[in-house]
Amino acid sequence: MSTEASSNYIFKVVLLGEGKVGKSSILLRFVHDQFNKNHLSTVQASFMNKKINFDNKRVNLNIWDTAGQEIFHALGPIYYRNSHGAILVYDISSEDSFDKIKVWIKELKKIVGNDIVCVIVGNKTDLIKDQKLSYDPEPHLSYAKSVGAMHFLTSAKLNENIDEAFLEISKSMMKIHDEKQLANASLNRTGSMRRQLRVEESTEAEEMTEAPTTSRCCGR
Amino acid sequence: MMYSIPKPRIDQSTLKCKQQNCEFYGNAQWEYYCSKCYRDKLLRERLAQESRAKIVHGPKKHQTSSKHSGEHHSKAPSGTTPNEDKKFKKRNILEVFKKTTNLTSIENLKDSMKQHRNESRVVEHVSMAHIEMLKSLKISDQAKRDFKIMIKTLDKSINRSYANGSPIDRISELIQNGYTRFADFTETKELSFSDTPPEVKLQTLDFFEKCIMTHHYKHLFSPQTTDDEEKDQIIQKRMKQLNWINAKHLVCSIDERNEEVRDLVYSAITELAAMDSFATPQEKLECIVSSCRIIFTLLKKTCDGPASADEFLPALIFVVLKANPVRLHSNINYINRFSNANRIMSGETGYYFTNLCCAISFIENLTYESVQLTKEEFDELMSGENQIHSAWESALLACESMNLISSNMKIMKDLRERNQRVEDDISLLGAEMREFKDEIFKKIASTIESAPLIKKPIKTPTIVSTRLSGASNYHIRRCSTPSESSANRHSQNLSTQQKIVEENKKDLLALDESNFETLVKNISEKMEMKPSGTLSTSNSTDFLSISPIFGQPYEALSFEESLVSTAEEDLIRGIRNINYDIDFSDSPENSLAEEIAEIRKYSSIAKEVTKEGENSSMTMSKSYLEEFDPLMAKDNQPESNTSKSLIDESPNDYLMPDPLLPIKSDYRLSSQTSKIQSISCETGKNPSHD
Repeated sequence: MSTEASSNYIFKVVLLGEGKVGKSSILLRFVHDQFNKNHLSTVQASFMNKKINFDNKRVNLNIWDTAGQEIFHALGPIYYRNSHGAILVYDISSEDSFDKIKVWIKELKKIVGNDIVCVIVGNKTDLIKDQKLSYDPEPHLSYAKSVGAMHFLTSAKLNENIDEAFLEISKSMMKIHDEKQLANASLNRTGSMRRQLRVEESTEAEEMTEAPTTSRCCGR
Repeated sequence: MMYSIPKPRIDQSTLKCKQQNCEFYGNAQWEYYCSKCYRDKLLRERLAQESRAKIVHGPKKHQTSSKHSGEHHSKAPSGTTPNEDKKFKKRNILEVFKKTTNLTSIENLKDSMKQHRNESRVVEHVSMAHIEMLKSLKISDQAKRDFKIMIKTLDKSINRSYANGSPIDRISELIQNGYTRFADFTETKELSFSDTPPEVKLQTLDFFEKCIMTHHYKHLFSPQTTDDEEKDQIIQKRMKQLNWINAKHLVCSIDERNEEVRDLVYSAITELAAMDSFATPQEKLECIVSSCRIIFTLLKKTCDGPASADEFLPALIFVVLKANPVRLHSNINYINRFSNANRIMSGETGYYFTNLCCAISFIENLTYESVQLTKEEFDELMSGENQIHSAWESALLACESMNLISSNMKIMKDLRERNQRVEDDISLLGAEMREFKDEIFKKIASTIESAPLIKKPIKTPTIVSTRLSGASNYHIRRCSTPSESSANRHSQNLSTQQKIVEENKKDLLALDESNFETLVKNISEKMEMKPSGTLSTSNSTDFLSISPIFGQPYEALSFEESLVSTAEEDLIRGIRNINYDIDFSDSPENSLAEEIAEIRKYSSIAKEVTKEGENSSMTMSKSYLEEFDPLMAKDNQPESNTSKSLIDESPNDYLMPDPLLPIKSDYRLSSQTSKIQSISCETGKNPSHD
């Protein structure tokens, strides 16, 4: 890996959350700084690319929106494989949406592992002001702490805390990425890195006859 | 992953290991050997190759069996039935096996050498196909050479790999490694790609992938060693079963009835179906991306604002279900295995590809809960007992007529537009024409203005002047009658005079109406002035001769007679009577002379009036009046003669103002014969006479 590659980060971040909690609103607010969907010329709000500069390092965030409907819940693993971070959005006015978060966190830990950075976002804080909605973030905060996730209260409508949430997740992802690179290249998550190592191996053995390893057969 | 075929035709022996006297079952992945026999076989092959390598000491040692396996792959296209395939495969494998196990001779070596040359020629050929592309790449010649070498190396190892019967995953890894190696090669500073800009490097990488995959497409796409084909059939069948699913089941916002949306869905389906026809993973991915983009476009029509994944995924599932693309699994696996990993793991392309995988996964695992139905309903629909005819289905069924209707609608719309256009043009033309007309009138008016009638006074024919003088003569006289209805008569006379003037105008084409009007005005002015000036002379015998009683009928009659009487005889007699009357009456000539004198006086008065009125038209009329006088004087002398000659010359001209009318009235006054009575009857004013 060349030096310039180390200062360039490409992260995949999945947006998880029940339908109507404001996933795409958060996305649009973060990427286009817009809330009213009708004012946007963008065709889609499900895949977004955002480049941010942080500590003289360039971070490229690939943000993947996911379908939040219950019927598509089983498809989750397809979405979040190879992702570096997950933003889990719930609606502060709906306790059900928070319960879904718990399920996702469990799944993420199980499938992707502990390396994935999780950020829990309680959206629609503007409702507290508008409707005098009583909201106690304490249980959610303690849950977030227990699973090692960050917690943010945001409002896509009022543009509160959105940038902060994305910035924090980027920081954490960079930290993990750097740690990994330092620790051992062989542990790298990205496929290209893994393959690169294989390449080196095979170049060494280029002139040797390639035969399937016996372990493959035994694996059956 | 046990090999099994649901068809009953295949018996136990087919399923068993190919190795004779082996009781274990074979597997497609192990070339229909059991695991143990396959391992043995590979070991033997390797030993054979190694022994050969010892003899030759050349680099071309790996090419031994590639010919046969190559043949096998090319001769068994994926379209043939699985049964045939397998038989063919079995025979081939046996051949390979025999040859590889028994070869020691130099003949075989020569074969392999020849084979290698053929292979490289094939590579050259493929490269030729891409030569233009390579030329267009902005990389150095050395880089191009390196590029070719890299391709050849990878190509060789791929050939070797599937010759060895490596599983597809191993080949996939090999190719992925090849990509990475090439990518690293381009990144290495001191080598030929050092001065290449990054985007060209990316292009070169893409091209590298394209070359490799185009070349090996037929071997690596849906290979027989995998169950891709079976999976294709399973998913195809599944989607066929699920074709009753409509947008409502998927809670998706596609409006199936909307024509525009349907067109977009059609194009999305077309894009998705086109995926199968491309050879490289890149092109296949491009199809997926464009299909997804179309879906987003159509979603924008149905939901406000940009579509999120919540709307996109159901729509994609709907499109995939309706498209039911052929060899879907094979295509997905092909992309998964051989596309540059970076491409499908990140970026927009990766996102769409992932969504497609999600859609397929959803379709495979679809249950009654996913489509909001009860188990019974779902089972009925799946078994085809209960059929839903969705708008989509009916659209497909009624496709022909629908297309016809929509095309007709389009034609109608077009016609309506054209009609509207024609109407607009018509109104425009009308307006233009009006404008043109106005312009023409304006021009005419301006021309008339710029060219006023200067020559008119000069060219006035004498006859008209005579008439004019006669008329004015008569009128002046009539107006001077001291009757109560003089004012009334004045106006009547005015109109009469106007008629006369109009008649004259016909003769005098050159004369302008306005001038006549001013003339008339002058005359009438003169007449109005008359009473004051005439009061002294009103006691003339002529005036007295007309009784006030008869004044009115006469007024009507005198004119009516001139208009109505048609018989020339009457006129002649009338004239005779006039003459006769003249004899009896107290010298009408005298009265005439008196009148002339009077008129002269008036004209002088009129002159004064016109002097007062500084109107230009007045001056015109003044000139008229000036001319008027001498004519009048000329006219006055042969008074009776003129009247006669007038009648003689133009007997039909009795409509013209008769200067001799006062004389006629004299006749009427004196002889109250029955004949004349009848004439007066016509006026309807006879009773006063009786």
